[in-house]
This record gives sequence, C-alpha cells and structure tokens, in this order.
Amino acid sequence: MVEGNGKKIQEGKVDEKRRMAIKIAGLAALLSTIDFAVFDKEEFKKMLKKVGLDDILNVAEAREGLGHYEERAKKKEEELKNLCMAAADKICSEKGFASADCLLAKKKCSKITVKATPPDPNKRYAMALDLDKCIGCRRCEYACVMENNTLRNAGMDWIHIYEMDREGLSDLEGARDDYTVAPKKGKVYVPVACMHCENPPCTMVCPVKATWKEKDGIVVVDYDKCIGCKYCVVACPYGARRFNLFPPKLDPLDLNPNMHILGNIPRPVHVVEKCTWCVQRTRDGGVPACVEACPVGARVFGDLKDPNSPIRRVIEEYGVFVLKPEAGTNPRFFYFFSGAKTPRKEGGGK
Amino acid sequence: MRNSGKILAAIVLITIITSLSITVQPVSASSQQNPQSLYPCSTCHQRLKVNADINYSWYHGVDLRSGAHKGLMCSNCHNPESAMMELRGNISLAILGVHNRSQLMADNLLCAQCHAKIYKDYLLGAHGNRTFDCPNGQAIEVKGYKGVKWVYHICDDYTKLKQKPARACVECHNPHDPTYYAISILPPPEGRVPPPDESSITYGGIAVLVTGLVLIAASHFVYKKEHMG
Ligand code: SF4
Repeated sequence: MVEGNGKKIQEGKVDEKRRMAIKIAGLAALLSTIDFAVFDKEEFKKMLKKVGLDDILNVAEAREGLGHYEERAKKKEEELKNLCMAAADKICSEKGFASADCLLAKKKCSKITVKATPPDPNKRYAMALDLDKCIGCRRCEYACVMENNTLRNAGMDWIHIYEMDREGLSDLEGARDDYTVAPKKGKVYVPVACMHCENPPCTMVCPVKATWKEKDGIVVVDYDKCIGCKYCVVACPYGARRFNLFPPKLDPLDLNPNMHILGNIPRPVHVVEKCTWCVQRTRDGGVPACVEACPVGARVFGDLKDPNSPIRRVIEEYGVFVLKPEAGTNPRFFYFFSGAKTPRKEGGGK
Repeated sequence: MRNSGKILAAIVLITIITSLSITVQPVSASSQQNPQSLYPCSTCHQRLKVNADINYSWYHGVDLRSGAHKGLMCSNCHNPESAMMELRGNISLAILGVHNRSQLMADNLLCAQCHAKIYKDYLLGAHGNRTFDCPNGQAIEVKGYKGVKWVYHICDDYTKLKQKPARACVECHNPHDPTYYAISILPPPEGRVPPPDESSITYGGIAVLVTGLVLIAASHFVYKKEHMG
C-alpha cells in the first residue's frame, strides 16, 4: 500500500510538469501556425495552384534584378584579372619574359571577361546524344574540365560516361564509369551530366534558393548564395551535381578567359557546381565545349523553339528518349539511336 | 632584307629535303604504299583519262571493292567530263594537294548528291560537330588537362559568337573508305569515388538486417523483464 501511495504521489508531480510542457508546446504550435498563416499565405496559395502546361514551359525565375549580376560580374572580373596577373608574373619570372608560356599567360589574363548575359526567354535549349555514334572516348569530359575551369584531379568532372549493356539500357545498376577499353561489342556508352530538367528536384530542395531554372531552360547555381548544404546533390536522380571540397586554383595557362558569373567562373570552396551547358558560350551564340570536342559528332545542341534547330531535326527525324523517365523530372537532355553505328573494336573485351 | 634572306634559306632547305626524299623514297618501304608521291599527277593525267570501269587502283592505294563505298567506280566522282558533272551541280572535284577548308567545304556538295538526308542533318547541325567564330578571334591550341589537346577561343568580345560546322565531310570520312572508325579512348580522370562493390552492398544489407533483428529481440527482452519483475 505504502509503495503504491508513493508511486501515486510521484505520478502527480510528473503530471504537473508534463501539463506545463504540453501547454508551452501547444502555444508554440499555435504561434507557428499563425506565423505560417500570416507570412506565407501567398507562397502557400502559389503552391496549391494547379500546374498547367504554361507554368512548366515558363517557369517563374528566382533571378533578381539584372543590374545586381552585372555589377557582381564586373567586380569579379577585376578581382580575377589581378589574381591572374600576379600568377602570370610568377610564371614569367620563372620561365623568362619572352617564353611562350609567359606570353600566353599574359594574353589570357588580359582577355578575362566575366559576363552576366541574361537568358533569352524566346529560347529553350536542349541537347541530344546519339548512342549509336558515341564511342565512350571521354573527350567531352576532358573538354568540359578545361572549358569550365574545373578543379583537376579532384573528381569534379561534370560529365560521367557509363558503360551499359545495349539490351538493358534501363538497368543502371551494372553501369560503370571506370572502363579502360572501348567501344566494346554489345555495349553502349551513356554520357551523363546535368539533364536541365523541366521539373528539377534539385532546385525545389534548395533552402536558400541558390539554384534555379532560367527562362532559356538552363539550371544554374549562384555560387555566392550557395551555403553548401548538399541537399541538391542528394535530390538529383542523375548524380549530376558535385560538391567542391577544395579552394579554387588559378593557373593562367589552364584558365579559360571566357567566363559567366553563373557558369565557369572559378568556384569558391564548399559550394555545389554542375554542368551549365556552357552558359558562357551558348547564351552568346556558341556551342557547348562537349559538342565541339566530340570526335564522332554524337552530341547535338540547339533551341527547341526554333523549327530549324539541330535538336528539332533530331527529334523529328530519329525520335528521342530520356533517362529515368519514371523520376518525373522531364529532362531536356535526350538520347537517340541514329542507326549509323560506329564500328565496335574487335576483341574489345567480353 | 633579313626576312627575305630567311625565306630564301627556307626555300633552299625545302628543295634539298624534297629532292632528298625523292631520291631516297624509291628504296624505302613507304614508297610501296604511296607511289604517287614520286611523280606529279600531271605526268600521267595530261593524256590519261579516268577509266570508267575501274574501282581498284594499286597505284593510288584505292580499293573500292570493299568498304562502305563498295560498288562505286573512280569515275563516279573523279571524271569531270561525264554526265555526273551536271548531276553534281557543276562541281569539279579537287584532287590531291593541300586544300584549305573552304575548298573542302565546296566538295561537300558532291557527297550530298547521294547522302541527301545526312547532308540535311549536316546543314541543320545534327550531323558532325559545330564550332564557333568570334570577331577578331583566335583559336589557340594548348596541351590541356593531362596533356590532352584543347583549343581555347581567345576573343576580344565574347558576346558575339557565330556558329559554323567544324569540319567538311572528307575531314572525318575518308571518301575511299568512309566508315568512321573508333579512335583511342582517354583514361578515367583521377580523384573519382569508385562505384561501390556489389558484394559490399549485399553484406551491408545483411548486416543491417541482423542488427535490426538483434535490436528488436533485445528490446523485447528488456520490456518483458521490466513487466515481469
Ligand atoms: S566525346 Fe563524343 S564519343 Fe567521346 S565520350 Fe563524349 S559523346 Fe561519346
């Protein structure tokens, strides 16, 4: 009996404390709902709106006023020029002022341009890749590294090429990117980089809105806004995003002077980066580096809205498919089989 | 004055080298494969017409009895005075010698006579790769990442780029054997995380399962002990 009483008294004490705690929690919950109702009503409404085709084609952009970006680009340009010149001087004093390296370094430094070219809303870029032609040679990968001032030897390359069975293309499990003999019989080589999806899951999860889809279809990252939380790295179904673990290196000889503030500008440490379809080239009329470098012409890049563009020709003439359609991301990077197969190497493995 | 002296020296050097190569080559093995380097084309072709019925010429190192252009005759492309001339839209085909890209581009039309679909692809940019020009631009070839050749476009103005086809048909496809054969591949870049081992996934799965079961059993045991005791 005594024991039982003691327990009851104890329970009574606990009850009071618990009641207090529940009261506080309830109050906090109420406050938070009020908070939500007051501050996020508009946002909430937007979220609940039915998504139509127009919304998908003309995604609202998070991009702030353009002046902001141009100002920043100009500042960055100055900064980089100074840094580059200092590095170039070092090269010159080591190798002599008349050496070819010195001259090239100085020339490149003086030509550094950081652009903030805005997207053209009348364009919608897309890329297609011919799996019959691709031989898995990795030249696009190397070109990408050199064009985009990517860190060398750090596993940061944006394009990965996966060797897959021709028959089981939907089976990504057996895909390998460390093959050393190619092209083998019965295999296809599937280069994978950012797919620039219409419904990018990576931009949805970013807590600071540092990444978004621009009006011309390119998904970009603002490196100055990125806090390095890596949510987007996890969210991407294609493993296209890379986390920058190392501080940037500025070697004038390896530097690509054509830069875009949302593209290939040397990235600070601890930010996420990924393929931008060479925004520094394509927005001003050029072609991405991988398209230029591919020895078999497997890559096709163009504007979906232009009926005479290469990409439209491919879609109309050959038909295309995408990777992981079940993810619902609606990629704008297509694959196709043109039928003109590059001969596979005899005895190229199993 | 100094420049002209240099040029003269270069010319003399080239003449010596060419004469040397001409005198040396007949004995060397390479001349067996490439006999036309010995004589200028005009020595024979001033009077010799292209034979309509020939599809193999040891002398030129051309064999159309096999390969993707099997079945064609030399005269299908190389006889400017035939009816083909009209079919080709009066394109006279340049033979041998060093041609610049615009000359090679002009020859594209000859290929287009048979490969209309691919030619349309090519014109629209869906076949072969494209590159771009910029005003006062310069393309500098460098040894880039891991010694791989790379072309940097050095421009005054990076905002006015103009796309164009990167190459003419015959720069990628040898017209006498037009299949594009795979070239060597580059090694995988360094620093990548290797893909996980299949067995490690299996073992990991089993480990998780066993740990889970052990935890469930342990909690059950503790619960029972508390309520019984
Ligand atoms: S460069 Fe072209 S052929 Fe080589 S891996 Fe890339 S897409 Fe394939």
